[in-house]
Amino acid sequence: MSNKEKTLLDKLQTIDPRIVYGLLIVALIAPLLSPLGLPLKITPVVQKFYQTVESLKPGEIVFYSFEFGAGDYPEAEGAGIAVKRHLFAKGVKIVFSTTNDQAVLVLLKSLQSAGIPPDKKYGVDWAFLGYIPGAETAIAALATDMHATAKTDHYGTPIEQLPLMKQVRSIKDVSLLIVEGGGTETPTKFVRQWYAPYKVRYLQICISVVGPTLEPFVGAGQIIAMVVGASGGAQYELLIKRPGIAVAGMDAQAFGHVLVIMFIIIGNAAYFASKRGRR
Amino acid sequence: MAQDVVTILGIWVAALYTLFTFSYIYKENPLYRFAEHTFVGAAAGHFVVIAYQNILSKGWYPIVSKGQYVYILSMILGLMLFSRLSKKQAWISYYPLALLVGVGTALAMRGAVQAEFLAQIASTITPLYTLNWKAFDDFVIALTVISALVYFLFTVEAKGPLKTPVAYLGKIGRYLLMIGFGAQFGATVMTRLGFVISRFQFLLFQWLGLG
Repeated sequence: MSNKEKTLLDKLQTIDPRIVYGLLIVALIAPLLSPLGLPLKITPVVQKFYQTVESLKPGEIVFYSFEFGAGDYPEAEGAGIAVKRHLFAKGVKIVFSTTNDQAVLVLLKSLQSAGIPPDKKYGVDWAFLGYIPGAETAIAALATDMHATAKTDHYGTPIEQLPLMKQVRSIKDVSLLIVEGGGTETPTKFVRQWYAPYKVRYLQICISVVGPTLEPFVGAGQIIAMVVGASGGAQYELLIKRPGIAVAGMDAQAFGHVLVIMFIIIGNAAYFASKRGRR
Repeated sequence: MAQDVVTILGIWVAALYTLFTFSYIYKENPLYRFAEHTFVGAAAGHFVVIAYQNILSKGWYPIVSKGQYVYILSMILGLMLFSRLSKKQAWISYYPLALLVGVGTALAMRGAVQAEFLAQIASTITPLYTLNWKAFDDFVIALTVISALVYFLFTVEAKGPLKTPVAYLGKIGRYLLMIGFGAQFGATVMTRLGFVISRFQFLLFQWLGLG
């Protein structure tokens, strides 16, 4: 192998990261500006999530624990918005809560993006218990007595004054639990404190990197189904027939993945070629 | 009108912070450090405000306005934690800490055995004799669990006729673990790209008003 070829192979293995970033930026922005509309397949697990929500009857109680902080919310933003829209459209009653102090503002932003239908009244159709400190202790306490655990809602109103909360005192009044975010830890706590003792029906929304670590809970039937990351969100948007930010980002995601795969192939090919050359 | 100004200002601040943070791609610079340090400061400040509100709403108000004096005990236990700030008096904080650890561990253990141990084992023990993809999935899961466990058998050395099969099973476990790590890395890439795409969507559509 000539010196010139060696240099090229070496260069391929040590590409300036800024070139990689530059190409990635182009690969992600171009499809956002000119979408191609690549096909999306609905996976069985997202379909199961959708069907579980779809099976709810108007007036049933959904306990929605929103656990995303500002840092990990963006990837599942589309999923969360789509699920909230679906729940409001079904006419179920939703009790929001969080055990993450950062999640309060993020939930309010998510609700604003989802757009609460004008006929849904706060305190009657939905309520927000706010941030409840205490992590797993709080989760366990909410299951046994919500009124003793969260005396006031996020806005400082005593929860016994909210008509919705007169119907909801403990996990026994809840038809479905949805947890949005929380990494691996918070869903595990919900499995321990809500599923194990009470066998609550449980759905999870999470980011892609967390999905595989929660998969054993789905396999064991503790979590009925999950919507994972932007891809899961895009599928859910299609299922509720309201394409949004997740669908819009799917082409960019595909382009980004192709570029990353190409870099892995080029890097490895150059590595093995230069190794063979040195022999 | 005032709301519009606040919204526009918010979008501009978010956009500039995004660009400051992205500037790290080129090289470390004062704009990136400014974004990083102010973010840490804002997050710490936010936490202090939330903690203060919690003490008021869940501790102070029930005592003074509802006469629920049992919360005085919680307040005392909370205050005892601050003794950690003094080396001499730090022992006082061990008591509320012991209570926190005790309650936390007991609560976790209550569901952990069933939720994270028994249920997981039960879901691995599934019939493998049917010919469909579900059975194949179950077989792969069972093989991965067993071979990965064998790979981590460090204390007992297999001898005699078991030596070769155990060695092969351990090797299979190692390769399956590698595949698992690869899948996890793929999921990480997917998440990071999702974050970036979300920021680009914000910059292009909300900030610049394109599309």
